Amino acid sequence: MNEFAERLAAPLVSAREDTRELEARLADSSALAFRVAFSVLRNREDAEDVAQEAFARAFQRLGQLRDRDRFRTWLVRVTWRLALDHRRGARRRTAREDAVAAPPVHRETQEDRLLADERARRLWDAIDRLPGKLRLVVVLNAIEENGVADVARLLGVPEGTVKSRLFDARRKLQEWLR
Amino acid sequence: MSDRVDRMFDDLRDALAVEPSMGFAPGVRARIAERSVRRRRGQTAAVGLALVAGIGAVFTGLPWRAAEVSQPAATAIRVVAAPAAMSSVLTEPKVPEVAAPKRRIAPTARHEAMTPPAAPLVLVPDDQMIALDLLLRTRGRVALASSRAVEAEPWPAIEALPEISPIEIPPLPGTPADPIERKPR
Repeated sequence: MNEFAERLAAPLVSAREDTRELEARLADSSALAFRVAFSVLRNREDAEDVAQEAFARAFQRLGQLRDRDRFRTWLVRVTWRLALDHRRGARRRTAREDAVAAPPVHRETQEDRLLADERARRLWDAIDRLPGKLRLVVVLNAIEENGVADVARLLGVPEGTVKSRLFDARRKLQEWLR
Repeated sequence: MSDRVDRMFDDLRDALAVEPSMGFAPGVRARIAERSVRRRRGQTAAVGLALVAGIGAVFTGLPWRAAEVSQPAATAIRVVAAPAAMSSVLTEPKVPEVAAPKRRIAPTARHEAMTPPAAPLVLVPDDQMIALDLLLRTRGRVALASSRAVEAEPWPAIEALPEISPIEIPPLPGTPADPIERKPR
């Protein structure tokens, strides 16, 4: 009888566990997905839309992951790919929020604001010019101040790869800023 | 120059220090719920379609099978005479002189010609075997062997084929004896 009851209740228990897991993942990785999307789209609404979609997709396929600890890695990949697709599709109509993308520092004067806007524009131009692999490493490194080891874990690549990509990215940025 | 790159990295960190809105988590939950509802609907539809297809197959298959049992079997017996081709594919020649047909064959004049006169056989395609078998059973005759067993035999012959005489239906009173009889002009 007990066994029968357990079998009947299994889907409910599983659904409750899923809900609990979703809440935990949301608390843990929402910002990551949003920031990755934002680094590509530079528009809060678009970034949120893409990040939500990526989160839903990644979570629904969580069962297919052999190592559930790699959810964040998968989430980053899905978000990055969806964001790139979205940007490709919406490039013409999306007005980028350069102002939002600019460093959130209080500026005293009009001149300061102009300078900051100019810096933000140059920053994103330079980031956009980087090849995809280098760009993702730079962005992930900048998000939440991830270290090399964190980025390596997020991308599922060796630390040496991350270091060399960061080095390449830095060298390219130096060239362009000369 | 390195300072400028460092500053750029700092700017990037600042720029990416953004937080999702309060509606982020509810939005994700709604999307997941919507997807699972859609998936469940799809599964239900698939199960429904399979059920309908199964029921349809049963209801359309039964009359077809019944018709097969009631009608063409008698014709098959009367047609008689064809090589031993009760199975759908014959791989070995049953008679040294006659090469076995490679594909499914129907009783044709050619096959009749190929049949040795001493051993008349009924050419029955597999799907009509059941009908023929049933018919013979109902008439108290020996049932036909299965197509495999027949294949195993070099020349399975059906002895004592049932004599089926056409049934004469008396004309209804007030109708002409021959319904297609022409009226005199």
